[in-house]
Amino acid sequence: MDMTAHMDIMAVMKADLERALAKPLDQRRWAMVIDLRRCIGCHACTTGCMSENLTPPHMQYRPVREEETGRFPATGLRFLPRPCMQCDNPGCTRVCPVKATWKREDGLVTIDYRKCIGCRYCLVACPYGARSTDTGEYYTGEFHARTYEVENSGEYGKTFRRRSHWHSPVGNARKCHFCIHRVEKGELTRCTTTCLGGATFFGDLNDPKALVTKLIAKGNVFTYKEELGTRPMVFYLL
Amino acid sequence: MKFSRRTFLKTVGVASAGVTAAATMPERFLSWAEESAEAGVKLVPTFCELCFWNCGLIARVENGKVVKVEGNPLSLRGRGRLCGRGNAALGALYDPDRLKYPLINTGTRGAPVWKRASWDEALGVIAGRMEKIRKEHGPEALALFSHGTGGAFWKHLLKAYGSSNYTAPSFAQCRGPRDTGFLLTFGADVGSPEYYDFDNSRHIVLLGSHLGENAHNSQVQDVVQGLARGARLTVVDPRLSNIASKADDWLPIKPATDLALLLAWIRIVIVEELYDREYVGKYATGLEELGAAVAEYTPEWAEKETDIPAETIVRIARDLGKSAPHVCIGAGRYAVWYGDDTQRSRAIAILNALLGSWGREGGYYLPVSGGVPEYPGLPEYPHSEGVPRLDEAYPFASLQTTTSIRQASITGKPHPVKGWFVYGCNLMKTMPDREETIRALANLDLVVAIDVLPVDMIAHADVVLPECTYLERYDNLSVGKFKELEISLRQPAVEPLWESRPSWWMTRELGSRLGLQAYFPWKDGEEYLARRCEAGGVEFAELKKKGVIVRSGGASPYIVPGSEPTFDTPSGKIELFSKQLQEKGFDPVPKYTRHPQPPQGYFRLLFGRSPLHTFSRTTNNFLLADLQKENSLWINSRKGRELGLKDGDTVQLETSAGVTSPGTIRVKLTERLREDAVYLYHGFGVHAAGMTRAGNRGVGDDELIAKPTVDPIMGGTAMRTTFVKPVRRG
Amino acid sequence: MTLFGLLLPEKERLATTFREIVAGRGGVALYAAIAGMLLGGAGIAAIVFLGHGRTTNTSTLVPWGMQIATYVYFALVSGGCIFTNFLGTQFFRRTYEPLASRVIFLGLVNALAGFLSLASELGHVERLFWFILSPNPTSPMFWMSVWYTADIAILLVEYYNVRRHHHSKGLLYASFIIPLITYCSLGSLFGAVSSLPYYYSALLPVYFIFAGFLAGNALCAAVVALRAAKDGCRELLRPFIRMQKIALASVFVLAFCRTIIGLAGSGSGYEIFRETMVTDLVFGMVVSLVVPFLILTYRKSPGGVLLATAIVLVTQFIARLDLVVRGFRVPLFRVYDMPERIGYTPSVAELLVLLASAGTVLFLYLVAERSGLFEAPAKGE
Ligand SMILES: Nc1nc2c(c(=O)[nH]1)N[C@H]1C(S)=C(S)[C@@H](COP(=O)(O)OP(=O)(O)OC[C@H]3O[C@@H](n4cnc5c(=O)[nH]c(N)nc54)[C@H](O)[C@@H]3O)O[C@H]1N2
Ligand SMILES: Nc1nc2c(c(=O)[nH]1)N[C@H]1C(S)=C(S)[C@@H](COP(=O)(O)OP(=O)(O)OC[C@H]3O[C@@H](n4cnc5c(=O)[nH]c(N)nc54)[C@H](O)[C@@H]3O)O[C@H]1N2
Ligand code: SF4
Ligand code: SF4
Ligand code: SF4
Ligand code: SF4
Ligand code: SF4
Ligand SMILES: [Mo]
Repeated sequence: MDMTAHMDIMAVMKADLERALAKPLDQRRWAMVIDLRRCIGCHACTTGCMSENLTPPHMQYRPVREEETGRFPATGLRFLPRPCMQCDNPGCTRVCPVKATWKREDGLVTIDYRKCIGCRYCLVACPYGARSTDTGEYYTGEFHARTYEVENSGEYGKTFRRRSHWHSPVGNARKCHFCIHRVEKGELTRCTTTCLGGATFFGDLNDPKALVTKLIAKGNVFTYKEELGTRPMVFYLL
Repeated sequence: MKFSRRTFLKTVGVASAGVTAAATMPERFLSWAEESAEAGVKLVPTFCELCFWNCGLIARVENGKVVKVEGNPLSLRGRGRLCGRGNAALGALYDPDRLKYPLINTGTRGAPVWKRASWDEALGVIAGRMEKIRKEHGPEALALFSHGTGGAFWKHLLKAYGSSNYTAPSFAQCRGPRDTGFLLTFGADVGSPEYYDFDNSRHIVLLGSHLGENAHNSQVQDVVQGLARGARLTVVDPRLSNIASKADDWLPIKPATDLALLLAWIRIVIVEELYDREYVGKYATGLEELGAAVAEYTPEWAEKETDIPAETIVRIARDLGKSAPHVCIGAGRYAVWYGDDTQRSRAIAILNALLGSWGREGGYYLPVSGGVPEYPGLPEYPHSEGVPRLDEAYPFASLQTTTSIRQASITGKPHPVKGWFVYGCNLMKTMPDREETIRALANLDLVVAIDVLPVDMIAHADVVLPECTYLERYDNLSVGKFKELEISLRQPAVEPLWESRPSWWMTRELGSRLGLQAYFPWKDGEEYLARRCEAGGVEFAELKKKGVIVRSGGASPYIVPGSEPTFDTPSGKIELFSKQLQEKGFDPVPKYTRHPQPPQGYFRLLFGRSPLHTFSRTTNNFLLADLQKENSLWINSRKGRELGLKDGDTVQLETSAGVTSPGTIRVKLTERLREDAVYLYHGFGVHAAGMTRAGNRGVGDDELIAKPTVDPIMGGTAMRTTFVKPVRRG
Repeated sequence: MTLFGLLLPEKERLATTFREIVAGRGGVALYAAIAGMLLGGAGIAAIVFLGHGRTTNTSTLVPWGMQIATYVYFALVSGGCIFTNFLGTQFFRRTYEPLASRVIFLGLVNALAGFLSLASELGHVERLFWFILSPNPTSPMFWMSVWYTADIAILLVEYYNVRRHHHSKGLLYASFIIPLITYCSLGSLFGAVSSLPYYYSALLPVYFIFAGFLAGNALCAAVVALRAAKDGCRELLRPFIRMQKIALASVFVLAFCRTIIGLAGSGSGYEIFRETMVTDLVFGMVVSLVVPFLILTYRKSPGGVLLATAIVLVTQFIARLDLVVRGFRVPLFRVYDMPERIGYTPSVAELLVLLASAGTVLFLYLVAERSGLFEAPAKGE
């Protein structure tokens, strides 16, 4: 096994992060690159994200879709992980009646859990199905009082305990937030650090030296549902 | 869409620029070690037990609860990453269905009536019956089935008690044939974790081995890394597995014919002199006999057997020859397929030997030697003289087979077996032929199950001991032999819930009730580990802090001038022709035998791993069940439509032997599978009361496998010989 | 402004009504309405106190369900009442006038009933104040809230005027235009949703106007038919039959256009259209539009009108539920091994919310009617 190669890439991206964090917010521009050739469909990113964000039942910020094409034996198969695209032209923020969700200067599409009225309009307006509603379910039902499920998810670097349905984020819209609570502490997103295929990259697109910038400079890049003009900040490599 | 992976991203090239001191890199990611400063937060490094890869993880504890697990960057088996299951640790720890108290069965085996017992009472009952068995039948009448880290303590107890009858489904129902085939050839098995040097390979061949779904962490990372560095990939699999979708060549082989393909490859390699002349000359014996024996296996013949075009077979053999010795024809892991599996594994070993890949970069690396010694100063284990071996019939079984013990329990021959300890095995789902198992259980005087969940097996136990989960206990060390030695520590992140207890405690308590105190001198699990580490020169305090210590072995992982490899075979060489086998009346060189193919109207039942589950051990995990709560029956779309089946239809399965699945399963029409087989994820079809999420979901292959043939060489049970047809329900 | 006697019934009559209700002389319909309100109230209480997770069947995959459908339905009925008022006043002045206050009253109570359902649906209804503190002008939902408020306000004023026989052309037009905008913006709210491209897409605002008119008018017609059945003044019915038939025809044309769009379409979402086309044709067009039209053509009796409007009111509700829910039946992003189609069945609590809204409308109307609110229009101030 080659620890070196693996750690190299992590170290490069960590260094990228440090450079980005040294700049003011409005000069950063977070982006994710997912190399579909390296994605092996292991779903580690899905459950890693669940673990990171203490998401409730039926809520995955980053499912992985399996796409089968062609006819046996000329069958094709690829895996398409789907975080929130952090669109530059997001449908979700436009429709929020109370401006509880908006595009930050650093490119993050954020939700203010304390402001969101839970109308779920953004859910149906996102063309990627990237948003979920927290209806206040617990995996362990009544038993939840004993478990970790009510603990602080730490999302957006704030304290959110799901003590009951009165407490945000219960009642709110939720989605992938590029692990901003980790990123701002200089840690890579959880889906990046747990990805078995080493297929997920993260960094600052405003930095020509950043790995993500170099990766999307090649020709084999696409964004999902490009035709909608949402201008995603998640890039896929073919 | 077919994705060419030749353009695979060579991130290494992009990334390496500007980064130095890569070897010390993991330390950069150890911020967690200092970060513990955060008020009220504790970070506890330990290792995962959601499968047996044992990846290092870090548990984050807040308010006395584990709130998150993350990979430990120091772990060679995880390298900071956890797989789809490993990340779902809390679904195991906080499962409300967990076994909470010791239970005593006051009903019958299979139809239990549970009585909640104190630990004292439960252990008392067990010790009493153990004494009785020893008196009446001798200590060898006690057997242990074990899988998992804590099993070491039970094995120790069993040996101290005087029995050598321990077994695991992970041998005769899993790796056994592979290990035996390689032992017979190289005098060494391929290890676990396997010594595949995938990340340096130029050409990787996988037969089965559905990596990506088989989520053995670092191995998956390695194979992707190898591809990114430009390795060719050939995947032989009747199904387009996850990894097959990345292959240069996917060979959708007719099931049960892999040996034909391998023999044809061996023949081409010999006939076209593609083999590593110098290597074979120096290290191997029996090339001539081998050449003669495989002469009949032409590519054209193999095409007829396997459905793989002769040209493809030839082309890939030549490719392999070109890339040799940096090729790795993987030996797989799950190998009990068709009953001649040792011979198939032998063929894989032989092909590797010819290409010179054992001990070579990109082939099979030579693992580090050494380990950590056992607890110092323990008395010798007692030995019973003149007790016949239970699996005499299988001369090359390197571990007792589960079925031999089962058989002896039924027949009392060659000697009676009267008590079973079942640690971390769900025998109802992991041994074939459930009826036989139930028959054996009926003959016993004592059945103890040590588990964390009320699984199918529990209902057949007399006493159930609730073990605490891996996040709540000290456990045995996990030592991984890679190019370096990896020593991992398991330590509790939180206190055990309810009255569950760790194995070191249970076995010590039983030991003292049986007068075996001398074997259990440790005060507690921590002291046990500390003394062992001390004896092995491992800094225990450091291990507690880091969770993992990696020790370099010094020697090169590859054959280099001046360090000649040794082969622990009778001849001291790689045995292409096996005298050992010949002497016991087996084919010294693998011979092809044709296996029956499914009768008209039936499909071969194939199965494998879901990336989100480990057998049935995670099907009740609430995080994983949320993503995948049942399995589905894969059928080739065209074939399925021919049968009038639609996606999502509910069917029952009926075997050609007349077994019907207790549950139903949903149809998934796919282009990813041949027409002569159906496929499902193993682990579902749980029918245990108390497993609220897993209960009655889907169908288990294990529910249908009856009377499997047995590999005569080592006793492995052929698990893919069942033919089924879907019958529509509802 | 006088509250009692003008906007509400006179105090004594109201008190008498309540005494009668307490004494058990309220009539079956009224008690049914009260039962509906109580049960519905219990449902809403359950949602509020137990949380959505345990009481409703909406989820990430079906974010909007019965409660939004109920809201849309009552809101559209409310709008339909206003349009009825406008058209009635404009074209059938003499026959319509005695019914005006009823129609506007219905418009008001339906708007309130709609809001009841909407409020019980929000994850954090207590934060509605953000609509004022942090408005988002790009959100159709924000505009919805503005226009909905304006709509209720203008209704109140118009109602006040009608009750005072104080007619103002300007106000009449305003009370036409504002609802028009309101229901257009409600339409755009749904039309803008990405997962409904195939549904009515750009036609949805227009569709909403006509569908609203159809349902609201049907309710008014039903109320009038009930009266006509009692006191036999059938000619009051005629304008309503006329309007109902116009509404049915317009919605039919739109449904037809939608079918054409659907047939020409391709891409995700359209597959659902194909799958449900037969039901749409049979149920969505023949049963819910053609049949009532034929009834109204051949049976102009109060009974015929009641039958036709009952069909319209029920099928329009089903159509609203279908509109809200069906667009999400093809999940855009499948989670691991998940079924292709997502099912949604409203929970008991969600059904109770519908009952609460319906009960409220019925209760308020019956109390107002019994207390003589619609009989003796007060003269002047
Ligand atoms: N996620 C996850 N990972 C796991 C486990 C788990 O439970 N879950 N378990 C672990 C354990 S203990 C083991 S042993 C391994 C098992 O994992 P592997 O060793 O990879 O198992 P295989 O049986 O080699 O691989 C299954 C594949 O073999 C194919 N196959 C079936 N029949 C044939 C045949 O006749 N010829 C060929 N060439 N292919 C065939 C199937 O289509 C399927 O794709 O996985 C390990 N990893
Ligand atoms: N039909 C069929 N049979 C098979 C296979 C197959 O694919 N199909 N696969 C084969 C293979 S590859 C293998 S390796 C074997 C595996 O077979 P087993 O060795 O039986 O392993 P599991 O099925 O993982 O059983 C795990 C049991 O351990 C319990 N457990 C989990 N964690 C703990 C713990 O911390 N402590 C204790 N005490 N118990 C724990 C779980 O609840 C479960 O009951 O099965 C083999 N049998
Ligand atoms: S993917 Fe969806 S939720 Fe994320 S920014 Fe884009 S529109 Fe918004
Ligand atoms: S659910 Fe919350 S974030 Fe989404 S639109 Fe409504 S208020 Fe805004
Ligand atoms: S960036 Fe963080 S929140 Fe987003 S998918 Fe990855 S792990 Fe989840
Ligand atoms: S963890 Fe990485 S390799 Fe695995 S599914 Fe997610 S993106 Fe793909
Ligand atoms: S491979 Fe996955 S389940 Fe197995 S030990 Fe590693 S993280 Fe745990
Ligand atoms: Mo295994």
